[in-house]
Amino acid sequence: MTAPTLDAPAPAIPTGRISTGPQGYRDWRGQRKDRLHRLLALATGEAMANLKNVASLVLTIFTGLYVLGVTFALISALYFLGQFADPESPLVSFGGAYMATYMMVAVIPAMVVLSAGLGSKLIADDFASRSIVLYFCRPLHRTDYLVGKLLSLEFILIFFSLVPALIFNISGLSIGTIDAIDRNEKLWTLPVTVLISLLCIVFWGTLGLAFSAFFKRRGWAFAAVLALVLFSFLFSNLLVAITHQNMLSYFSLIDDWHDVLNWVYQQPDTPGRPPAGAAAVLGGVLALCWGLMFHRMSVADIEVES
Amino acid sequence: MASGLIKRYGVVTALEDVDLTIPTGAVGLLGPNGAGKSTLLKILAGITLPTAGQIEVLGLDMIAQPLEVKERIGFMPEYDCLNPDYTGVGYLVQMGRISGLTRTDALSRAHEVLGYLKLGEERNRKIRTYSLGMRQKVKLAQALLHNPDLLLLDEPTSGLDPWARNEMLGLLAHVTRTTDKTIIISTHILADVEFLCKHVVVINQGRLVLQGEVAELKGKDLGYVAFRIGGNLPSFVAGLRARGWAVTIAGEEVRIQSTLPKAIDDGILVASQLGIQVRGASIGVRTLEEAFIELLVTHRQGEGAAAADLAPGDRSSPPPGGQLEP
Repeated sequence: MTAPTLDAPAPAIPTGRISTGPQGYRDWRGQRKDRLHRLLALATGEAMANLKNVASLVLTIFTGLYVLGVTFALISALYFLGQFADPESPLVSFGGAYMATYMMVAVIPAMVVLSAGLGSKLIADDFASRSIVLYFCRPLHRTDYLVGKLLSLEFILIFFSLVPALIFNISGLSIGTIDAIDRNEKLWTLPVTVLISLLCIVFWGTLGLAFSAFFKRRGWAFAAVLALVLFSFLFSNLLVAITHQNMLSYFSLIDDWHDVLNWVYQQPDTPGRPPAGAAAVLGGVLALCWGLMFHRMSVADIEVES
Repeated sequence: MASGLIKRYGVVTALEDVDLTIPTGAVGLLGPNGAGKSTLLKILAGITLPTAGQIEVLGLDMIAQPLEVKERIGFMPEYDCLNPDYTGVGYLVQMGRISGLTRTDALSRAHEVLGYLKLGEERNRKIRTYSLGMRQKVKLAQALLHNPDLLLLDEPTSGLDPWARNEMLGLLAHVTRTTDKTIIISTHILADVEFLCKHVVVINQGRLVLQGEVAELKGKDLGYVAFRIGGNLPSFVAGLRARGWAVTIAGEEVRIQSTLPKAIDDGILVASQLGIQVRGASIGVRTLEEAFIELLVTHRQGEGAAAADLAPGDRSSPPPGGQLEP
């Protein structure tokens, strides 16, 4: 019988030289943390790792400068208009219109850029390096993995949505209201700002993460998120321009957010486009993203090896 | 322990009705390419679930208590799976914390394990700058970090140069012999198994072929004493035959068909009388490689006979590989 031969080189059996460090192997017998701690450890660790990346850091700094710039510009405008303008002008008195405008001008663009820039790295890198398998053999469910990755993004996004929005809101209430009565009447904007900021980071964070799960290269995921947002905006507005049907701008995520912000800050609706429809579209996109990510995770180990 | 384990990927059956009990200590998982070894390891590591069957790891039900099991498992995949953007120590800290260690514990443990694996000097370098051998060590480090009771190592010496391989084998031998961990090593390099493992599990075409001790797989001695000599080989053979021994020649070996101590004594005596140098004398045994190939050939012949009785399409399985993967 001709036996098949191994292609591997003939093994050299170690001759008793054991390459260990001076301290040898020691067991670890510490207390293990629970699942929630492990999930938060994943989130904080990933957030820190994301910010250590030079491209991510540059993007974050520039976005931060933009948000800060817009925030202080609008606060300054409120202050100076209050000093010199007609007190009866709606621009002087702070309220829902200011907040809706601020969210659209400062927060939403920051969310789009950061979710695309930072979110695109989170899962795409794990697929590219195949390190996703090492996460799957840790004591975490795959849902925990997704939630941990999302939280790592939210930890960063919160400093570009909730924090500046609250600063602007509180500043507006402090310097942009006529008197204490006016201020008290507009205190409702604070909980709305908290709620909508959180919804905002969940939505845009999920979108960035979902695209990250479907691209093995970070750059592609980044470009895809930006392309989706820009293309949907341009396409829907083109349709509206051609058909004069405002309802067609539901295709635009930016316009949907505009409608929702107007709604929660009690501003007039866009004619022919009820805000509930925009909210439904955004909810549907969120659900679709999670559904696709769950599916992606269920086959990730096979995908990695193929 | 696995019972009736089945794993299918679509129409492809990776594991078929595997019943398995893994003993404590180092266990070699052997099989040709596509046999189902990696699938079995992935099931044991909780990365994928079996299609059917029961699996109990460290006394816990893997399907009902996956997180509890994973806390006590360390898995080293075959392929490169390290995020190159991390430093060695940074990556281990992250993996340690996800495994349930506190930040302080993870940090000290990462330094300790990297020191143990002789990567202490390079621990703050980015993984992208590491050589293949260093990456293999980091993969082993992340598996050892949280002190698992079960280590699953998929091709730990694959692709390493002889020096790095020697070093990795030394490390594994040290872990194997100085801890009470159960270590399952999947490899195609049979000498590694022979060196590291006492037990062996052989899988072929998704089916369990054999589980037992390495010595059991190799079988007992082959019933001869082999001499390697320097000098007049025909005279040596004639001398032995004159003393009544049945002698054969295999290459440079002279084999006396007996394992009695007297056969060795007589061989040395004849050689000294004829002025022939004896370079080696040993009792003939099969190598693990010979035993493994023989076992697979036997198994395939059996499978072939069984398949002949089945209609086409009765069972889907990976095609039988004629060659062992390097």
